[in-house]
Amino acid sequence: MASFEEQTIKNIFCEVLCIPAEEITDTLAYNSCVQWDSLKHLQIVAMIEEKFEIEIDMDDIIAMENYGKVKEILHKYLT
Amino acid sequence: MHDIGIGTDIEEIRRVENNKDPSFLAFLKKNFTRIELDYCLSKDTPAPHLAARFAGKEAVIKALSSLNITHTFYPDIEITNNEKGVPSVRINTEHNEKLIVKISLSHSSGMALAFCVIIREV
Repeated sequence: MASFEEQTIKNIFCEVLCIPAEEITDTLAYNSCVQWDSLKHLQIVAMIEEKFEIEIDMDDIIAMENYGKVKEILHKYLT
Repeated sequence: MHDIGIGTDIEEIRRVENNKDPSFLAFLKKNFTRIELDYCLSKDTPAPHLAARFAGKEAVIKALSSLNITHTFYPDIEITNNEKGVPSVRINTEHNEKLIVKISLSHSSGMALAFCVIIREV
């Protein structure tokens, strides 16, 4: 299992959502970012799981409603 | 007595066309069953079939939610076609034995659509 690296998470968001890094802030949210829909959400989760060699619980996948929350949840798996 | 849940979803087919991309392959492996992937990827153009199934899974989740049934996730829902091409749904979680799940899938050149009805005995 890899350690928590925020830059890696940010890169995944940039790649999947096709938005620049400066737009990836803690308040970037599933329900307000037009690029972040259910399909993209699942792609982000799949990439994070592959990159960090973890398996994220369904409840956590659903709870990842903004970038700040994603980081908070991933801390649980990666520390 | 019966409760009825409904759910629908629509997906752009172009969004599931890049099935060689690593992030997309990871997404496919995590959210589709082996049977679904074998079926879709055996087609000359898998994208409409993948999009229709993804829309179908979303429609099922929405229909379940309308019955206050949560904690069913994409890989738990398997959509297959019979020999006549009629799609059916199997939900691989507990406590779904009293559900009758019906689904209809369709697609045009650009969009795939699914509609799901779930009947629950109460």
